[in-house]
Amino acid sequence: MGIQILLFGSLVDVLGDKHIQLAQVKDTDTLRLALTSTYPSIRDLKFVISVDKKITVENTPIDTTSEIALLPPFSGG
Amino acid sequence: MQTNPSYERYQRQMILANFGEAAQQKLSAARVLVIGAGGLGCPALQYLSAIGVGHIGIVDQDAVSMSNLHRQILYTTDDLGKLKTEAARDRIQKMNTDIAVSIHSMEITQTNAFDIISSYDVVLDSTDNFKARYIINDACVLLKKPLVFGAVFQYEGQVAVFNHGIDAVNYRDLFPVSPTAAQSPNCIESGVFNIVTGIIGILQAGEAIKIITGSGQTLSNRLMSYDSLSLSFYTVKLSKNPDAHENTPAIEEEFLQFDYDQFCWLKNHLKDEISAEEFDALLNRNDVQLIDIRNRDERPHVDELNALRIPLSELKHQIDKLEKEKQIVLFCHAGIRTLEALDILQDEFHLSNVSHLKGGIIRWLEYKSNKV
Repeated sequence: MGIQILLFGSLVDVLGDKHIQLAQVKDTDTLRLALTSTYPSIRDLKFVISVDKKITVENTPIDTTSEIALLPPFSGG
Repeated sequence: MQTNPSYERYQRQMILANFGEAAQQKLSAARVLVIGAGGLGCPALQYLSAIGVGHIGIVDQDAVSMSNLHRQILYTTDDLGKLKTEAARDRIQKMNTDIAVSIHSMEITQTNAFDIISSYDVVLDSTDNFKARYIINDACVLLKKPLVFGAVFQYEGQVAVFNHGIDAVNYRDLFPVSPTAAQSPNCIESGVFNIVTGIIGILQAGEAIKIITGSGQTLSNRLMSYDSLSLSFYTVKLSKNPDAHENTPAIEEEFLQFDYDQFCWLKNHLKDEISAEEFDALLNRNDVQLIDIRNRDERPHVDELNALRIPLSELKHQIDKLEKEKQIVLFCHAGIRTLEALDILQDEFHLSNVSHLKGGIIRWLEYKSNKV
């Protein structure tokens, strides 16, 4: 079982899909490391991680049912 | 200020359940500031004026250009070259003669932000760059003004309400560190689907109206993302971010002294700028090397320049292609990504003979077409 991750903005452009799958990780710090090692192209991008529709501001546990989304800042107007 | 709103004009909204004369009076007495009269600001201004917000302020420093018209729907072809503040004011004033409109034809800066924002009740951030967004956010935090945030990227948009309600969060809680311009390009650089700015701008107006009338629940402490391609909305909760505190100005003095250029990674590259006219004079010279740092498929094509194309992402790996004994002139689409390229070449590779085309290749093409 892995985790399904919902992508927004430039992350969809760079990774080519609205969703990606990753092996299960235990928390958001580990997720960030797993993301940048699996997808080096997003290393320079800024994004916040949402777990179960809450933006995380510190390391947050992830379980098998967690809903994960990555949201980059937008500047356009 | 209009104290007796015309029933005839507003009857369709006044007969709404939970709206009525009370809400109309509140709107009529309200002062709303829209910062940025572009893709987001135009639709927001239309609906704020039509619903009868008594006093509307508009901040923008730009003039209307042709590439604005596909999404900045207050302007017509006749408005090309006019100040957006004036064209927008004239248009919404015609739509609703019962309201007052003030214009501030300038860029929002940390020196004028307090003066401009302090007399308004609600602020809409409809700008197109991170520096303005952090300045507006910080001023609204210090002045305790509810802030309705809107932003777009290609086919997607974001809306949030900051500084409103209990335990209110602000933009710095969401993004404590500013991205560089290259990490999050704006509409000039990456394009935008016009209806996204329309929908996000109208949602911003809707949130401002709800804040004023007290109806419904606002997006306070929440961020809503809209994806036009899948037609889906995704709303997440926001909370106080311990990392935000360190950089947030706590008093007006700190705000005035905060280095927003440095915080937003905009090092001062004024001395490295060359104008479209200067650029034109440098063409076809043997002692000048032109580098196009746009991606390989990017338009417009300017093959006549004989520039070497090295996309920004490859610059570090193709550094040996630069002819260091020549004057190196960088250009991109709008002169934003070249700022990052300048940082790389000057700071990491210690090149001193590099400059960039201010306003990018679109500015040079504009210069050429005006010259003819």
